[in-house]
Amino acid sequence: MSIRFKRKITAGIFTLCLFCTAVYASPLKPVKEDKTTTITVSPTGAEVIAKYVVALGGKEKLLQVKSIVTKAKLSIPAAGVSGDVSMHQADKGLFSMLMEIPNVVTQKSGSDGKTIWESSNVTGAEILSGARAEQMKLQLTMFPSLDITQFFETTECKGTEMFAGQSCYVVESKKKGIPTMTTYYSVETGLDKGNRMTVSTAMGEMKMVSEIKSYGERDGIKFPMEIETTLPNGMKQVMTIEDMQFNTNIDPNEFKLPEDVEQLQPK
Amino acid sequence: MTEQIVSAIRPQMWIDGKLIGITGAAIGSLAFLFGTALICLPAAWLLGYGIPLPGSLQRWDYIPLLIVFYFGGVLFWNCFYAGVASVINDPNTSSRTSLLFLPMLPMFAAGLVVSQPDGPMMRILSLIPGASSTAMPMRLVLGEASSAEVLASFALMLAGIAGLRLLAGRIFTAGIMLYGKEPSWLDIATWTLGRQEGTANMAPIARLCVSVICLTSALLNTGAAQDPFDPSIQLRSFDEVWQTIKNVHWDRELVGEKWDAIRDELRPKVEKAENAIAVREITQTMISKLGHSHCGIIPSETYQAMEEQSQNGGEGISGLTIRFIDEQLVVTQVRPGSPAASAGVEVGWALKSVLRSNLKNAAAENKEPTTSYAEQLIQRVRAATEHQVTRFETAMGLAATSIVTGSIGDQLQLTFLDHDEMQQSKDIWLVKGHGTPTKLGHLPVTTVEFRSLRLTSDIGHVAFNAFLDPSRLIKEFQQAVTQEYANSNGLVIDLRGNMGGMILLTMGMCGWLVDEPTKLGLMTMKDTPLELVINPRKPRYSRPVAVLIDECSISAAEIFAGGLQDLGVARVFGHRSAGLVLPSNVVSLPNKDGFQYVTADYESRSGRVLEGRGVEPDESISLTRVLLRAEHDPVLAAATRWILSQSK
Repeated sequence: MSIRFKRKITAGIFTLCLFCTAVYASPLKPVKEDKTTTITVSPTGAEVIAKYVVALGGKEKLLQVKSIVTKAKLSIPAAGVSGDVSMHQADKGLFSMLMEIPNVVTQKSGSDGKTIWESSNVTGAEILSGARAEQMKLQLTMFPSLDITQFFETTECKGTEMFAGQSCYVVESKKKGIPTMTTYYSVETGLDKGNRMTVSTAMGEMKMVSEIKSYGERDGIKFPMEIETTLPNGMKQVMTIEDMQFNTNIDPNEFKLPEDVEQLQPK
Repeated sequence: MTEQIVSAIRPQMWIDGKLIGITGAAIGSLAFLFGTALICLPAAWLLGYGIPLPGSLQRWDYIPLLIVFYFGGVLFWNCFYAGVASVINDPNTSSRTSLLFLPMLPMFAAGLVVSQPDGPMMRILSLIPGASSTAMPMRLVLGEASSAEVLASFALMLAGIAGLRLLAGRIFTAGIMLYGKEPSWLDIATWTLGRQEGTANMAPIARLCVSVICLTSALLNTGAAQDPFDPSIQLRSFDEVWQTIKNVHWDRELVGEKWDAIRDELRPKVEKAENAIAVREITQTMISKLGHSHCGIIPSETYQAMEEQSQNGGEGISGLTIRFIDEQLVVTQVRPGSPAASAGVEVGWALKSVLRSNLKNAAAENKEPTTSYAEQLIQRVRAATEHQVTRFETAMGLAATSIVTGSIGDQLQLTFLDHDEMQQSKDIWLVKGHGTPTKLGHLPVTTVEFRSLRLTSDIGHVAFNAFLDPSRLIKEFQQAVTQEYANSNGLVIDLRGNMGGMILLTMGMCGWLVDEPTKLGLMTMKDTPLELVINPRKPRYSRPVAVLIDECSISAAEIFAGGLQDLGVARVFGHRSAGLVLPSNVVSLPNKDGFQYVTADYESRSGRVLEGRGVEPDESISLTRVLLRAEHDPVLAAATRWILSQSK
């Protein structure tokens, strides 16, 4: 065996050892996928959510946002349907959302700060209450994580689990009268990776799993850019944000109750 | 120095050397990355890190192709770089440096349309040299590309590489002797197109490139026309059907071991199938073992035919409604002003045969006249519906309607037995129907018509053939109940021949007939019961409501009629409905067929299971030819009498 060959062998072994050392010395611990939650040393629910707020851009930046206007595309590729969504959100619980899926439905929902409602060209209007109203408020309030206690009584970190290919803190948020929401926050980035929740709808409760595929950023604030939701019938619904504007002037009439909802108000 | 080297080596060789060198470097980089991945990935898996394989590597069978396209792309852009580099004096100050970013454009373009791997933009990108190295691998992994397209893309890429290599050589040849200034665009154009000593003559190269382009075009057209049978795609389609039902069906026992056994029995047959029709039949056989309605394969040809029909103005109609009565196909309705009415056809006549000629539909198998005989049709349908979910009367009504419809301009020679049992022959040219073509998801294009008429007894009569096109249907129905007939004696909602559609619409339309939020029925999905909820809409329609149904009232029409019957807000007249009621979805399969599958069980508000049973009318009207002769529309007449009795 020549000296050159021996040197090559030695270099190869040394490289391999270096690699193995790097792997074992890594601060990341392997996480086994486990259906049952495993309680390990982990932060509290509030700490995870606080980290999430930091990852979004920080509390100070988020509080400076007084309004959000969002344009998005919604599609269910397997069903061959897609449409446009636009949302307007402002302080004091004001929000409105318009979803138009050609040949299927035009649906509006919103709140004037007091009444939470839904109105569809197909099924008519209704004023929401109970779990449906609470979940609608959670969905359409700007940055609910800034004060999660207004939506849930408890938020508890149940350990870590693999979700969407990443190690995530599992945070269960509960409030009496509404289904538990389980949110997965990336251990590495702190960002929300998705959730499992039972959504209360007009037709009943539906179990859905949402995954945030990517984040966008504007003015130093991150926002979910692509959200994929698995529906109870197995199909996937994809919402892709096309544009998001902060602190634009929104016409107050945007949050006014539509006529068919006004008619439902108790006299 | 340069002059000495140029005199020793041909510039083209010099460029070729550069290309070999930088391509070799790229190969080396890839090999290093690949080698690192080969070590790191298994190590990571062994240590418990759940790193998923990239999607491209999960398709092992495509890896050689992906590698070929990768190298082709690297070589293509290296040729480009070699040419561009020849005209840049100093990359820090040259305005042409931005050209070096050009390779990113096709990558971005492909990224923008990656969600539609089989869309037109991606198909175009997969053929353009330089873009195809990104786009074609995306299409192979995420979508489908025929062999012809892959070959064409590869051929075009080779032609592009050959052409760019020679162009780079020509530019380099001229540019190498320039120093101190960069050549102008005119100079570059002159070098590439003019003759130069020591470089290839561009004329034969240009001819070669044109030949390649023509050949690939021919190849593509051949590929497109033949649409070759791809066993792997057919197998994927079969698997997708099986798996979808397994995942979605609410009856765990039905889709448990028995469903696995059905797959084990039928999959080998699909593997051996030699054409798409055979695969379709096997798949349909599998689906039919569930014994459900709303579950089946929609052939891709149906979509093409409906699309073509829609582009040609829509379905051609005769104005006839035909049903099976007393072992005959009998005319039950003749639409006023229709070709059948103009020809003098009357309600109660028995159809004996239909000679169809002067066919306008280009997709027809042939343009020769065809004759359908009623008796043969009855026998065929009877045989086809034995042991099937769809009962004979429903299938017969649908089949009979289909032989008197077609494309606009088709000529039908209809032979009838009139009221006196005398033979009558009538020539009819099909005309455009009155509805609006509507496309919902993966359902074929459907023409939806809403009719509204005030009867002489001051009763509103609305009829629509499907619960589709919600914007228009809701608006028309709202207008009818809140304005047109708000103060009439009553309202007849005619659902005879209504093929169903969106369940949401049934909920919405019922809103004007109730005062409080209430339930229409219950859908039971896998683990998820969902109620069909009616939100009351104002103003409530308070006059008597009659609903007309027959054996061809299907699906959402039955949900609507049965729900109103249970609520006690309408009286139902006619004939037992089809009993085909399960909620469903329609998706597109890899082989381009549609696949409709049930997603939930359904029971009405009162707990009635309508699937297989239908809605029994409150007042059943048995039609006969004699009754039809006497009353013209006995079902409508009965409904009208009832409404008038309620109004007194």
